[in-house]
Amino acid sequence: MNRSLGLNAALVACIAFFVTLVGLPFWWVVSGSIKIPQEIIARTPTMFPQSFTLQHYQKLFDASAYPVYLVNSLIVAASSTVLTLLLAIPAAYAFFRLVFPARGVLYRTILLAYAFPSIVVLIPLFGLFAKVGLVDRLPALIIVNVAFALPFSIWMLRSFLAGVPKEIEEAAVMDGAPTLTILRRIMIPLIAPGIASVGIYAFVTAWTEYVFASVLILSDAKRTLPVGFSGIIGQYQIDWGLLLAGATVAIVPVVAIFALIGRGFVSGLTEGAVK
Amino acid sequence: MAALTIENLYKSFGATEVIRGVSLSAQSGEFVVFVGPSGCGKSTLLRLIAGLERSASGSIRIGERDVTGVDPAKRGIAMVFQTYALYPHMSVAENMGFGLEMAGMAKPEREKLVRQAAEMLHLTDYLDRKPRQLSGGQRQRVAIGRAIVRNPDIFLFDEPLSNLDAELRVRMRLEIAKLHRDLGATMVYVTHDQVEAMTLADRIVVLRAGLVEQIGSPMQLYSDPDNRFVAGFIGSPRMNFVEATVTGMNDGAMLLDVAALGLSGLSIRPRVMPETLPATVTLGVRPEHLAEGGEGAVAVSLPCTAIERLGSIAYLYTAPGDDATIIAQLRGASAASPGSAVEVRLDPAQCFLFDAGGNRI
Repeated sequence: MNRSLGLNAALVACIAFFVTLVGLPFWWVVSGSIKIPQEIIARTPTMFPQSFTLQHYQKLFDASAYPVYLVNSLIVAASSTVLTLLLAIPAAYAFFRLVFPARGVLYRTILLAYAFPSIVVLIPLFGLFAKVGLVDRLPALIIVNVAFALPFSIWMLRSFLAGVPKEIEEAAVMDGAPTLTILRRIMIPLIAPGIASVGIYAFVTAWTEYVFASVLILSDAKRTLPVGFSGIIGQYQIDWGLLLAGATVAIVPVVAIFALIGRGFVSGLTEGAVK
Repeated sequence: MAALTIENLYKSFGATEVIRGVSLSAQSGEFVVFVGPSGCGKSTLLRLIAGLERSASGSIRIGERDVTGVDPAKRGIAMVFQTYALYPHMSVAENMGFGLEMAGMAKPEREKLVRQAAEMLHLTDYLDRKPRQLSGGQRQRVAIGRAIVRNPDIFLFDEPLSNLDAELRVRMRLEIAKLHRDLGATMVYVTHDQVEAMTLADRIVVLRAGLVEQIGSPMQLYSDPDNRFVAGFIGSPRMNFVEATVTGMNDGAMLLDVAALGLSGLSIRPRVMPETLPATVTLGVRPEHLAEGGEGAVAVSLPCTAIERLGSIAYLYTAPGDDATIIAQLRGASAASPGSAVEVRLDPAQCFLFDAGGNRI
């Protein structure tokens, strides 16, 4: 496709604008976390650090409960992701392939979960969890995160499954593969990009979840990052250096998971299968 | 290998009846081709044989076994899909061996069979490649290899060549024909391309709107079609159909006036003389029997509106683009040009007569 120079320049400018818009706050957080306190609160802010220190990180890991929160968050987010995928993949395949009564109604109904803001179900859920002894325990958060991530995950995976050419599945049927083998050996590898997307979605939702974590968890040793970290900030007035260092560390797992399973986003995975 | 017997098969999708009482059989080792226009039910019929669709009624037998309700994998068949349907994340060897693995065959034995099939199909050098690294023809061979390794009683092919370019299609056609000779297996092949049907088939089943129109060897269908549909479908370019008035009969032949060809008193022998003579009939004659310099006894002068030169021969059209156009075969070096009139010879012995319902008289 031939585009004129002017249009190209406009496109580049447009992309540059949005990249700056999204990237600038991140840059400010990351670069601020290695500045000395005086530079952070200087009247004229500096875009590029004039000083270098790791004192905020040292304080974060040595003198605060941050490492505990980090580990709690990792446990909750990783478990939620794994559990979401374990449940969503077979569920999506069942909705896609199996014929059972009220399939269409049920499929639409699961999305109803998003009709209610989380705050609405918070109080009854707390009562429920209190009865079964789940309050102030990490599994409570995992259950909640999975419950909220599942409907969208199932919905999304089902459309990925629908994108796999029907003949491939039929060929597997002709080859004598049972339904679960078709799912495991044929469909899962083919919808890997979809699984990666859903995995990232589940991880990020669990990683950033605040409302339930702030209510269902009571003791400090069980807090996750969003809640626990907000406590650190309030504790000693606002320590900007600590805040920025904590925010930087909080980004790392998300970036890592994108780098790790983002590879699954490759398109054209079914290339060569049909035609 | 085994024989295939289908009796009174019905299939509907919702309110639409797609297969309406089909009965046919294929002998052991026979190459049977289902042919027909799109939507005639030929692919559905194949999928019914494969077990990918369930019939509403009727029965399918493979050998002595009734497989009507049997799972696809347990029918002893293998299918080659139009789109190849290879597993894109598996290597060629894995693609070919998957069915054997599912059947519980041990790895060394599996590898041996895959290697044998690969040698037969010239795929040995590609066993470790993924389907996306192969050309269209190679992919199709992998799909065929996947079928071969399972040593099925019956091979099913669903328009396997329609995604290939013209040259490759001819080559693969010859390869499939050779494969059939080498394996001696029963093969059922679906196509809408009557050239494929003519060249590959021992017997052709012509389908239309879910019904069998005629079953026979390629030459039977060509030289003795049961009805106008089969006559028009088999042969390329298609048969010419012109209306004719019946003026009488003489010695077992009908005497016809054919206005479109400027003929009167044309004597054509029907297949069976009807008890009462119809007033009009449709006369069918193939372009090759309405040929310039042909051996036919009757001279016909045709106005040439367009001419298609293929090199060794040429085709004359009287009204190109119109259903009523008459196509005649000319010599390759014919001097005819659009606007001129050309004299061709009609062979009355090669003409067919059809009644108003399209049935052969």
